[in-house]
Order: sequence, then C-alpha cells, then structure tokens
Amino acid sequence: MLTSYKLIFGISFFAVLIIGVFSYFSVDSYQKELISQIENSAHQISETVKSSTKYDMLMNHRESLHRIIDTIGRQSGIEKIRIFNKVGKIIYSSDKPEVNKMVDKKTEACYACHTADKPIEKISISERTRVFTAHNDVRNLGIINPIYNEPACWQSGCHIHRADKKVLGVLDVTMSLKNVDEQIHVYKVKLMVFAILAIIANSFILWFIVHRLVGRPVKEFLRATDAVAKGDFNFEVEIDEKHEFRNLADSFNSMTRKLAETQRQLYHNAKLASIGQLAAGVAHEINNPLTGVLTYSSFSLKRIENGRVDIEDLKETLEVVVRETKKCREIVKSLLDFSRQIPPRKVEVNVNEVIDRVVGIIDNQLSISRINIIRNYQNDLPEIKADKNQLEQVLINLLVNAAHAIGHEGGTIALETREINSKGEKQIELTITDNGCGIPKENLEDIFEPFFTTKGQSGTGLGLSVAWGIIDEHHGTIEVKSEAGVGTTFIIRLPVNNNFSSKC
Amino acid sequence: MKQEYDILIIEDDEVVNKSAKMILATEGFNVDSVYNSNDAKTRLEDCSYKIVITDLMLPERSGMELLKIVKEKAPHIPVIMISGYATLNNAVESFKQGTFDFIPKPFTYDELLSVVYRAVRFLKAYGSAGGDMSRFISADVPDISGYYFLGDHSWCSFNDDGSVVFGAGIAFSNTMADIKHIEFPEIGSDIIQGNMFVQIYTEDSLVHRVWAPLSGKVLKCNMELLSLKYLLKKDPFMKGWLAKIKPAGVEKELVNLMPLIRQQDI
Repeated sequence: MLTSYKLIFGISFFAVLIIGVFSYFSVDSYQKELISQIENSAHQISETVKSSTKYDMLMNHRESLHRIIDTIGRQSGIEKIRIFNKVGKIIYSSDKPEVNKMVDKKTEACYACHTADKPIEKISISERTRVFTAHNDVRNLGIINPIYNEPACWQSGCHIHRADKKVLGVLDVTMSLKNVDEQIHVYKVKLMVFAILAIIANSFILWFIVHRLVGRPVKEFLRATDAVAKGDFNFEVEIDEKHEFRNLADSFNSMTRKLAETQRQLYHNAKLASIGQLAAGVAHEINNPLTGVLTYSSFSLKRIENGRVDIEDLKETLEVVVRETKKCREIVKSLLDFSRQIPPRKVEVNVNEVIDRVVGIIDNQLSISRINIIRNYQNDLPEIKADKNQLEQVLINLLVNAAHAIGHEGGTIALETREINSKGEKQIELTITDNGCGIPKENLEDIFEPFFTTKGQSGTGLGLSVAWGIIDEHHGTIEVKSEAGVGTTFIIRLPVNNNFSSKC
Repeated sequence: MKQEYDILIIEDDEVVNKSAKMILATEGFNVDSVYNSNDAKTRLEDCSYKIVITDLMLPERSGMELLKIVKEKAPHIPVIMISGYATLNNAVESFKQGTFDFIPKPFTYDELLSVVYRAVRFLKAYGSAGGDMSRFISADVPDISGYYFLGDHSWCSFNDDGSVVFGAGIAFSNTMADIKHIEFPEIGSDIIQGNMFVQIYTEDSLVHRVWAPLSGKVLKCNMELLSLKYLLKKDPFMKGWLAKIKPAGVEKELVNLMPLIRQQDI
C-alpha cells in the first residue's frame, strides 16, 4: 500500500529532522562544556606554572625553571609548555627541538594580542585561548599567559629588564583535545544509533497502525469494487461496527444494491425499448393489410348503403379482407410470441430454430431495406441450455443493428452456426455478418458499453450492452470484428454444457 | 400521345396501392400508381399530375424527398402523405415542408376521398384565382400574429390564462363542401397533437378530420358553430374557432408548429 509508505516516509523524515536538530545542539553544547573544562584546567596549569616558576625566573635559575616546566609538561593531557619572549623567540619548551626557534606572530596564540601588530597587555581568558589542529590531525587547545613586568624584575639588578616594559614574555600551555574529541565521537555515535532505532520503531508502529486501521478496510473495498466492476453486485463489504469506515462500507453496500436494482431496470427498459422498436415496425406492417381490409370493406358498405350491391364486387372485397386479415394474424402472433412475459428459465434450445424465429419476426423490416438473409447452419447442431427469450432479444438487436448498418441501399446478412471445441469444451459458434457501413476503429472498443450509441436520439445505447450481459450470463462470449465500409461480424460462442443461473 | 393523369399514387405496399387506386378510379379519377420512389422520380420529371399521394416511408427515397421534388417543380400541387404511424412525428415534419394533408393508415374509403376532394377544391380555387392564392380566400383574414399553424391545416392561439384556442386553417375550412354537422370532442377528454379532435361532415357525405395542433385536455367547444356553420368558412381565425384546451407539454410540441401562415397560401 503506497499510502502507508508515504506516511511512514513523511513521518520518518520529520523524525530525522527533529532528532538531527536536537543532536546538533546537544553535541554542540556538550563539546563547548568539555572544551571549557579543558580551558579551565589549561588556565590553572598555566597559572601554576607561572607562579611556581616566578622565583626561579627572578633568581634566573634556568635549570630549575626547565625542570619544573618539563615535569608539569609530562602530565597526561598536556601537549607542551613553552615560554617565548617579546619578539617571539621560544626561550624554553617542553618540546626541546623548538627551543630558540621563532614563533610566527601572525599564527597561533599571537593573533589575539597582535592583530594590530601592537601587543595588548590585558586580555580575557577566552581571547587567550585557541583551538587548532596540529600536524598529526589531533585538535589541541592552547592558552597563552603573558608574563608581566614586575618591580622585582627591574629592581633585582640581576638582569636587564627595563621598568617601562609591561610584558616580558608569554607562557603558552597547549593541551590535547584528543580525549574530548573521542568523547564527542562516542556521544555522536550513540545519538545516531538512538535516532535510527527510534525511526525504525516509529515506522514499524506506524505501518502496523496504518495496515490495521486503513490497509485492511481499503483492501476490502478494493476487492468489492473489483467485484462490482466485474458485474457481481452481490458482494458486500464487511467492516467492524466500531470502525470509522463502517459508514463508508454501509453506503458502498447500499450503492451496489441500488446499482443491482438499476441494472435490473436497465435490462427491463432495454427489452421494452427493443419491443417498442419492434412494435413500430410491426405497426407499420400491420397498417398495410388493415388498409386493404378497411378500404375494401368500407367501399362495399358504401355501395350497399347506396343500394348498389354487386356480388362480384363483394366477393373481391371479402377475398381481400380474408387475405389481409390472415396477414395481420401472422404479424400479431409473432409479436405476441416475442413480447410475452416468460420468466427467464433455461430450456433446451436449438440455436438454428431461434435464429429462424427471429428472422421471421423482423422479416418485413428486412425486406423493406432489401436485405438478403443467407443462412449457413450446421444441421446437427447440439442443443444448448439457454433462455430462449433472452437469446431472441440478443439476435433481434444484432439483426436490427445490421439492418441499420446496411441502410436503404440493400445488402446481405449472413448467419452461420457451427459446433467448435475450445479448450476441451464444446461450444456453439454463431456468426452474424453484414456488409453494411462497418464500425469505425475508435468506436469498436466502446460498443458494448451501456449508453454508447451512434444513433443519436433514436438509440438508447443499451442494446449491445444488454446483449453482452445476456451472453455473459449464459457463460458465453460475444465479440465483434469490423472494418469501416466493408462490414461487421459479431461472433457469439455459447457453451453446450451450461449450468447457467439467471440473475434477472 | 401521352396520357394526362390526375393523380399519382406512390406506395410500395401492394394492397394499399391497389386500394387507393381502386377508390380513386371508382370516383372517376385518372390514376397512375408506382411502387417505388425511383419510378416516382421518373414520373414526376414532367409533373403533369394534379395531385400526388405518397407513402411517407418508402425504401430508398422517403416521401419527404419526393415532396421536395414536387414543391421545387410546382409548389401549388397538393401532396398528400400516407402515414404508417398514427402520430404526427413524421407527418408534422412534412407539414412544415408543405404537405397538403396526411392520411394515417389504415384508412377508409371516405377518409381518403375527403382529403382528395379537398385537394381538388383547392386546385379549382387556385385555378380560378389565376394562381393568386391571396384571392382564393373568401374569409376575412384578421391579424393572426401569435397564431401557430400545423401546416395550413389547423391553428392554435394562446390565451392569457394559459388555455389555448384551436381552429381550422383556411386551406382546410375553405376546401370543404357545405357543412352538414360538426362532431366535437367531449369536454374533459384528452387530445393528442397530430391526432383527430374534430370531425366535420359535409353535404357531399364526406367526413373531414381536423388534426390537433397541440396535446391537452378539452375545456370548451364552440357550440355556436352548430347553428352558425358558415362561421367556420367565413371567419375561421376568430368566431370560427373549434375548441379551447388546457395544453400539456407545449414546449416540446410548439417546435412542430409554424408561427405564421405561409405567404404563398394567403
């Protein structure tokens, strides 16, 4: 289900965003906290070194000074301790090779005071601190501590510091941040693992809820719509009474019930429509013989009323009356046979006979359009179980359509029946081929759709869809082949062994 | 020498064709008949017929198409339609194209004759008027704006209260012999557009049927006409009205009617 994945993806995205922002600030403040601790201890060490070496400096006890610096510098976490003089020469360093080298004043600790190339005497701790990456990729924290000129320095007379100098040199303590960085790394990994676990758990719970509350009912609805699309209107959606989808299910079920009812009415209407169409044709046909009867009898009546009775005239009149009344009788009989409301039931049906009956009913209409019927039957056609009435309805529809396609120019309709074997199943194949105007390619797919018509107002668009429905109910198939300007062929296949049940 | 025929019958059904021919021949008309529209078209080429009677539904070419052919060549020739249906659906269309009248199948001896005799009188009047149809009408023609016509056959006019007055057209009322009796519909009965609502019996023992221009329920009939029969011919649009009805479904039916009488027939 795509929706649940979208939902999970969306919510996970937000979780990542929130956890990410939280982690960023958390890591940042943790790092600041740790660095500030190091900074403090570096400052303390720096002060310790300064105060413990003060005496040695005054006394100019270089060895003692060096020893103190070396001893403190060996402590874990301290990278090195250096002293450089005012011009940046390294006077002493716990890292021996550096001694007597010049420090570039533009780098490292110097920039804090020497930004304007002029030393500032008083600066804060944070300004004296710097974090830098040494050549071995380890981050270090350095803190400088200026050694101020004191009266003792110029009063002692042992060495030559002048009284007007304020800063004599700088004590630089560098501490490794390796530990801090390791701790932060561990912290980051922990956060990451937590975030991933949280997102996975979150997704799973979401998936479960969506699947349980939405997925299952939607799947049920999907099955229902599929079933309805296939024409099964008896499918009912079943959903727990407490579920929000229950209302939807109820309205869906009532919709399918109404659809089923409408479909039944459509079948009925289509049947009425085809009867109506037929009746119009029959009325036209019946009016002709009736005209003969009426004109001749009214003529004779007039003559009798005028006292002129001619026995020959009367005989001619009665002959016409009898002949034409018999014609009417035939027409009425076939109409009644067709329209009689017989409940649908399966009986043994010979398809050839059904075709003949239908052709008989609309024969007059066909001959008006000068249509020639060619019958090509398989004589020993097995009987099938089918609803005779419904089959007749299908055939009338197809034949009337064929006649319309042929128009008034005249043409032929070929009717063919044969027994075929399809996948081991015995079937009857009935083909109706006309040489009418044909069906354009773009319409061919739609012709079995309800309400599709090319006849404008005069067609209901139901004939072929009902025909399809009837054949489908008989577990048969109906297909069409057509070429515009050449003609159309309808092929109906009906199983010989059929246990069909009618819905209507 | 080519024979002069009075009437051409075009009807594909044998018994109807023969019946019509028998009736008209019995009455002394020169009748020519054909069974398909191709033959009809050939016969109509020189149009020497005085009256044409054609089935509305013919294979290949409909009666409507034949009507157009006749009207193009000689607009005055009355064309009578034989209609297979008892409704106006097709016939009303032909009224708009200039049909003189139509006869629904099945018809009696007199029903055919009454229409044909009206066509004959129409032609006579047309001839005596020297082809000028405006002089043919003896009736006073008042202002008939707001009237709707079913061909020249019948008319209707709307009252303010929603009721509709029906009457017969001039080409109908003035092509009958003297009126003997008028048979009105019953008050309250339903009448249907294109179906008969009044029958007029004339002194020549024919019966003329008036087709209703609209459908509806009969409210009142003009009983005055029973004593003052001449009003139907003299003043067909005013005092010669036939019935008042309460219409049903005017919107749909009005499109079948023409708002004014065709100029050529006044």
